[in-house]
Amino acid sequence: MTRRLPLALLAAAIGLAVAQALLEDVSVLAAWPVAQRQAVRLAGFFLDLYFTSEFLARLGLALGEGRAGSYLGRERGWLDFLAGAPLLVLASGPWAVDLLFGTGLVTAGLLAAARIARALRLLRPARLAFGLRDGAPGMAARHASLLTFLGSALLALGLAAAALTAPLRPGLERELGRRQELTAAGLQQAAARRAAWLPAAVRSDPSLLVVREGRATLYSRHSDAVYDREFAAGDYRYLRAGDLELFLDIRPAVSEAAAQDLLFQLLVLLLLAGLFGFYAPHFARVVTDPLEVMRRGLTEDGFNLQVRVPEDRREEEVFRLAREYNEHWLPLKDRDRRGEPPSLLTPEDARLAEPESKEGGA
Amino acid sequence: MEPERARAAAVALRLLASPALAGLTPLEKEEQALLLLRSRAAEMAELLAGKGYLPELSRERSRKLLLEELRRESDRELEPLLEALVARDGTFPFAARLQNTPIAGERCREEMASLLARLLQSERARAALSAPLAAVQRDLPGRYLPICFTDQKYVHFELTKMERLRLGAGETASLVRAALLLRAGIFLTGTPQSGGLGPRYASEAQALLRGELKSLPQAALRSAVMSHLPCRGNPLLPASARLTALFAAASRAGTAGPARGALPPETSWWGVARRNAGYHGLDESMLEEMRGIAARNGW
Repeated sequence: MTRRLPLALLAAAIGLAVAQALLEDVSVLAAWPVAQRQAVRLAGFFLDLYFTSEFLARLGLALGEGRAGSYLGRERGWLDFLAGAPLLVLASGPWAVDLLFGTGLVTAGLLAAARIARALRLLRPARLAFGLRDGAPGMAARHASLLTFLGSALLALGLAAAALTAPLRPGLERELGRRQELTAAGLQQAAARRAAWLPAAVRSDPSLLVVREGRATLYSRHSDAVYDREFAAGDYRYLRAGDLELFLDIRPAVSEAAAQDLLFQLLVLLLLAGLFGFYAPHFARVVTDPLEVMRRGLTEDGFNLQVRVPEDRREEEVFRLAREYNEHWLPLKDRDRRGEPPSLLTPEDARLAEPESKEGGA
Repeated sequence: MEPERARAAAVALRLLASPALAGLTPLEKEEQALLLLRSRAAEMAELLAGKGYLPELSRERSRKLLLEELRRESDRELEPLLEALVARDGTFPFAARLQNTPIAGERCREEMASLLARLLQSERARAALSAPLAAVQRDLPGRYLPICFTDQKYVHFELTKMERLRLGAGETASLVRAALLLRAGIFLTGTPQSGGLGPRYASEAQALLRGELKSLPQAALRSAVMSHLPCRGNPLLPASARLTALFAAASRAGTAGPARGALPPETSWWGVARRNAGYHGLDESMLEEMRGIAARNGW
């Protein structure tokens, strides 16, 4: 009962999650209006909730059956956990609570953690790969799913490292951050001549959106309607400069992160397609199919087909074995056929569909 | 028809119509049914003794009745098949190029049909006819020989230079098909000794057959009879006889279904047979050429 949910359901959930993640990045890159971006992110929240609930349900059932360790280990419960819970707790959960209840849970630190946690989304296709393996046990599926996991894990690590180091590496995010800090420092130092400095700061830093002092707004680049329509949580940065509060546009950096995220997601999908579209069939062709042909030749009396040995792979271990099978075992089997081969028919084939059983009833 | 015979006929019909036997010739189907009756005799006896089958007959009697009905049903299927095959390959329109004496095509056809009908009366000859008939029905000569003639390799050389046959690819295929149909003819003259057929017995059998089948071309009869001789140790064996033996042996080559990762059934068969050429008395070079053709064509 605590075994894998039907593969189709898992595939559908992961398919939706992958589509949602891609759409979320596209919505940022294409600068969709806030309402639409929020709808996409909300869908992501519900998917994270689903994956986390699924993990908890399985863990609960495994605990009930006294095999939680087995579930978390051999049955890859740890992957179920990683692909759901951290995202819900660090990224989509606080964001959704903020959106729905206006609690202000999302802080700068949490935003950074969320960016790292989002890298874990890349592990979801690996869950599907393992699910496919469970559905079709065999070496090809096992190897392809393991490679999918390793590849996805490497890409997830790469994306997390890229997110962690983005503010430190040369690039748009660091430059934007530096300029905004310079703007804040300039405004703070020129407190006495603020009226003269502010227009200069506005001109020199196009990311400066709003400058407030206490309850008074000293400057706003756009009307409130524009902010409502185009700026969501995470699109702007808040800085304090003395008694001034600054709101700064960080959408270029967010877009860059989304592009990076999208690139890694596409790489994972490409990896999945490559492994299951090319590698798994290739593996079947050069390892499992020849082995299966030999197994049948060794065990089935009437099976005498030779293994197909590609010319350029003659010296590989499997095909060396296959050549022995083709050139020695099959001829030997052909010569050593003692007695009669089994008939293609069975007594069942002689059974009449409607035996004439009524005539002799006593 | 008595009710027991009708029920035996129904069982025979059911066995021969089994989807497991799809693609087999009537004689091969009969062989499989006989094999079932031998290899799972107890189960079949139990089935036949069941209500609605033949409970009132003894085990021996019910088996005999079923065998008779199996044979009758096979013969019914064989009749049109043999007629068609003999009509195609039994008139030897090209025989004038094989011998000096003229050939009466219609007489040849009648003699061949009569020979086959007589062969079908004997249990042993039926079994011997099964493989050649399957090779003819699957038209192995018609598929392979035109390619051999196009390639002009070993088989072509042996046929045209060594055996000196002045025939085209289609005519050679027809000759080999006729030889295949005549191959079981030696069972008309008795059963060859258990150690295999020797050259002396072959020539005696050929002479006897010649007496019975006066109109048939000598070359076809010779190929048919000599196809029983092993290739090794008989250097003068005509190429057409070697081909006849080869195709008769290969009759079951394509019956196994294909499998992923395996060579096609016919390519596999030729490949294995090439390794056992000496054991089966077949021409290794011919087997290799056939294997190459099958591999090239994905057969």
